[in-house]
Amino acid sequence: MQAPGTPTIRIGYFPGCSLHGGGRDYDESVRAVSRAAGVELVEIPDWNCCGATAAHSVNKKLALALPARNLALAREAGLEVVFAPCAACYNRLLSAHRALEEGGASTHDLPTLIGRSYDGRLRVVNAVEYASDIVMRRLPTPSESRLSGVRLVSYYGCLLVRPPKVTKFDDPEDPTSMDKILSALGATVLDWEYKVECCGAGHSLARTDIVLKLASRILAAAREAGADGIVTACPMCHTNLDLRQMGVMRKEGLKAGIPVYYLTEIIGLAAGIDEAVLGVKRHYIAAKGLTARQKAI
Amino acid sequence: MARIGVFVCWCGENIARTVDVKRVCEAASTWPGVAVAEDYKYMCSEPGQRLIADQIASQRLTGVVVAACSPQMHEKAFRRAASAAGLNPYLVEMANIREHCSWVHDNRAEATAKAIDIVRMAVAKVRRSEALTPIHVPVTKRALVIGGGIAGIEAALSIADAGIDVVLVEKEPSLGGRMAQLGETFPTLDCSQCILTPKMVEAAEHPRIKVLAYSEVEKVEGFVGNFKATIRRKARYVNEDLCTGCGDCIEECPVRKIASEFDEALGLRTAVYRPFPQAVPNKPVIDAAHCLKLTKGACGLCAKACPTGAINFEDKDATVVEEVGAIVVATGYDVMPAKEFGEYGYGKYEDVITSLEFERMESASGPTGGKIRRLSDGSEPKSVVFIQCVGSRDEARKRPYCSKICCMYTAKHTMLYRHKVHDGQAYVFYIDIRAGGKAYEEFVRRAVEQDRAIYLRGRVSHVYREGGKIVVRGVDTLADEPVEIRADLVVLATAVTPRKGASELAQSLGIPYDTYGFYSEAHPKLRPVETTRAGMFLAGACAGPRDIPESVAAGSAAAAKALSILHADELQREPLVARVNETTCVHCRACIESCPYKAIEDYEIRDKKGNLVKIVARVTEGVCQGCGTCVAVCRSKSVDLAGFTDEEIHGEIDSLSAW
Amino acid sequence: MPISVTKDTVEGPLSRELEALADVRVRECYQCGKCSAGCPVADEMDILPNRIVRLAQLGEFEKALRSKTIWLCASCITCTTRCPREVDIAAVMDALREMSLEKGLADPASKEIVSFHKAFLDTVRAFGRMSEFPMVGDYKLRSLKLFQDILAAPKMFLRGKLRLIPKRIKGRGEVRKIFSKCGW
Repeated sequence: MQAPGTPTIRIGYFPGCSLHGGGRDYDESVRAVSRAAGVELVEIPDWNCCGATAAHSVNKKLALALPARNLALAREAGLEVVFAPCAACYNRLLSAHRALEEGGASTHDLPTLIGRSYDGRLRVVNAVEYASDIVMRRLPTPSESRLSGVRLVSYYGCLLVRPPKVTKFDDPEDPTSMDKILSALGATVLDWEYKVECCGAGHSLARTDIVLKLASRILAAAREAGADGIVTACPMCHTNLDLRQMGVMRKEGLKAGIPVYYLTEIIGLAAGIDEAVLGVKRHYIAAKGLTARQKAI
Repeated sequence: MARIGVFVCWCGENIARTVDVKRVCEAASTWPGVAVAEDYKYMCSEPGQRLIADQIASQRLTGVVVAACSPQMHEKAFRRAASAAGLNPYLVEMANIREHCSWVHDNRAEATAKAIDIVRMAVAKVRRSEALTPIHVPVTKRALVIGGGIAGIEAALSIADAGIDVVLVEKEPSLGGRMAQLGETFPTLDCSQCILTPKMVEAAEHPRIKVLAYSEVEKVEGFVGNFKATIRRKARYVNEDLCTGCGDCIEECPVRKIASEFDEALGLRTAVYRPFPQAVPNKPVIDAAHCLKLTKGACGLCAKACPTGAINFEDKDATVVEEVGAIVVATGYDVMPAKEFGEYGYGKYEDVITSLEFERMESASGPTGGKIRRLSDGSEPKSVVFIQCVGSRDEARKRPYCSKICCMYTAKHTMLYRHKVHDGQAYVFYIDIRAGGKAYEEFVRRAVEQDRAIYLRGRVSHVYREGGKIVVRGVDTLADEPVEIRADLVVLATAVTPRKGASELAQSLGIPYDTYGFYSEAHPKLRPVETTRAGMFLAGACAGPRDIPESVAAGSAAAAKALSILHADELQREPLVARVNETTCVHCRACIESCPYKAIEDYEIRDKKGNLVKIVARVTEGVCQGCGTCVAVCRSKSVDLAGFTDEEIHGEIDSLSAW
Repeated sequence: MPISVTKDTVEGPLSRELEALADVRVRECYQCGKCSAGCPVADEMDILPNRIVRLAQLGEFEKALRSKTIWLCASCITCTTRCPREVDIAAVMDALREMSLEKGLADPASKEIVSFHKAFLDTVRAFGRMSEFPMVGDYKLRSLKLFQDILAAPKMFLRGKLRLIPKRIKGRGEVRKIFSKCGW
């Protein structure tokens, strides 16, 4: 389905632990969209957990070593670009890459620690960059958008845009890169104030009450704005807004939920890929039938 | 036959604690050419200087070495003392055995040996020194003041009142600067225009002041006492001699929706306009970019309306050259663009404005007639949050400095807001309150205690819109609580910055500026209105954030400094300048190219018949600063620096290897 | 009791440890409070973020290391992003957490959060990747919150999101070695 004449390209893929478990729908939509765009995703061989929040919260050395092993493995596999769909994995891999680039004291014993060396020649991209720089230009634009009339808000969360010295991605206060993609796909992108407000992240299990409080504000703002759906690019954000939305609805006595999509699901829907393939059915809050065609079916 | 006097100072304990002063004297007295060697506790004091003067007379000294502190301290004083005693002042040399010796070493024996060497070098130099006479430079008894704000006006009036003519150049169509934009001033709540406009009129009508408004200084050549300033008079399209200031043209102008710069874009103006009704000169200008006649050849209603035929669409920029002896730079300040702060939403939310915009709104002659209004719906705001330090004290945004005036004007704003909106509430988020001036602290307390402004200590993290309100997420660190305020209006106190174009102007004037673009004083403590360029002075906020009393004081101070040059017909300059040996000069022009002060020129030597004999380099003594660059680059060793000749320097070096 | 503030209390070994671990010089903070103002979980905290930094400035580490604050921090990095003096408060929080565990001072009431981190890393150490099913089991045993999310589990399973058998990577021995070299 990729635009005719474009050869298949290989991009390194770091799915991250969530995408094989709670974020399975994300993985499915990533693969479906990549296939359609003629991108061969090369999973980093034998990749390990990046350490996420837990590692940097308790042990700095570990927090650098775990992602550093993945960077080294990626280079050993001859990869030059690594796409990490989870914002936390993206942030951890990029942080380790930047730390090694700077060569500060904390990185001096890393090669010994992980038993591998890293030459620094990787570009780590997040889902928004993957979409805008690689996928979008390789997917044909349908003459009539399947998303026309669909009102969406972009939820960037924290780790895509912060800290700006590490991510160097978009504007940390008012990012627009995902909004632009959604607009280009023909959706009506609504402006709202909660683009980069924290959802509670890793507190989902241990302090669900905090996540419910923070998620409820984000969901209320999306509702206020009149959104038909919220679009995210991180499985943690998705969980806190989708799985935990059930708890919010219970707490606030709400009847209708607002569906939460992954950016790749939206891209897939816009490209006419079947909902069933994209993993939309795996959401907790009913999310099927977003596009006109799917609604008709 | 050299008869040098060596005078070694104890400097109290400063030198004597580490250097054996008597030992230095003993050593010096054994050297050939040294007629007398004395020590004294404080050589710079009156008895110390008298000692030197007496010895010059009684010992018929041909040169003097004062072994003491840095020449930066008292060289001038010792030279004066020698001169009064009949010895050429340039035959006096300071040997620095304090900053270069006693202050940087501990070991007494080693320090004393070093001090002896230093004195030996000085003696060797003075033996080869020549008597020099100061250079006399004629002075043009006129001053140029660049900038017609309060500092510039004060400087101009002070100089003019002392009997010297002044040219006052102002970039905008009217005098007044930032002070004209203010409503009231702290700490008196005086109406700003009421106290300013009389001074503007006084400056404009003063017989000795020539106001060149709507003009800019393009270039300044020359040197102290003899500057030539090229000034571009921008085309007004209104003949100032014919215009009576009636304002009929402004009434007729159909282009009425241009954002007014004076009103910080909160109000509108016409294409032919006065920046504000009390403008001085009270004559309009035509904004060529928006005038229909000048852009499209249409309209021309103003010309028809003008009873004196003062409109002139054929007007062109003109260049004038003014010759002056001293220049005062008083170009003022700008404020930081608030758009840089994504977390505060300026530009995204209409109801987030800057303090300068609030000032215009609050001003009786402003775009809302002094009424405080939300820009979104025109309603009266019942809660206003003022955020201080927006851009100031901000390392991350490369402005770690404090902008000085914001604590005071914010307190002022809360008071004026309360006076106008009796049931409104002002909130101020601050980190510290800086209120060091006279009656300033009391003023801020009045805002808190009488006008009930709520002061919260902590920076604001985020401002966003929710419903019809602007939500401010801040903190009060004193109560240890995060604070959320749902405001109707948010006012940002943005950092004071140099004017746009300030660094370019500084470069064309040849004056230094700091890393932020503020102009540098010659010494931050002791020479606050002078620059390192002789004859150029600073006044007001161009040198850094300043309030009005400081700017006025600086204006007067700069005037005093300028008058010290302008009062006499001639200036005396130190003769420590470069000289070219015209016989050996080969006119390679290396010195001309490398002189940082452009003090060297090509000079044609002609015979009596007018035939060209030779072209050489010649130093303009009045401009030369004695840096020595030309001496270093000259390939034929044809340039020498008086007071630091090759012979003198070699003498110093050789003296170290002698014994 | 007033606290004692001397050159030694303010610049003691814990201050040096924090500086080295976080690569931060806390004396650069001028206590403006912008970090606290923007922190999404500040309402829950016992000590606001800026005050944690103040305690570090004064050498009052015990209060900071025993606080709930450091565990409530969601690592959203808003504080570091907006700090006008470019102090990396998020890194200070990381370092204090590490120091707190190492010295056995972690707030007992924050045990669920600490258990979560430990359970997460337990599965990574064992399998090379975090696996939700064993991780949740580990967490529940540590925190004794046995019935939490019990209703969610079948929902997750039905949606194919609950992998019962964790994937073990080939290099898990390598990963275990990394853990041990890092002292965890």
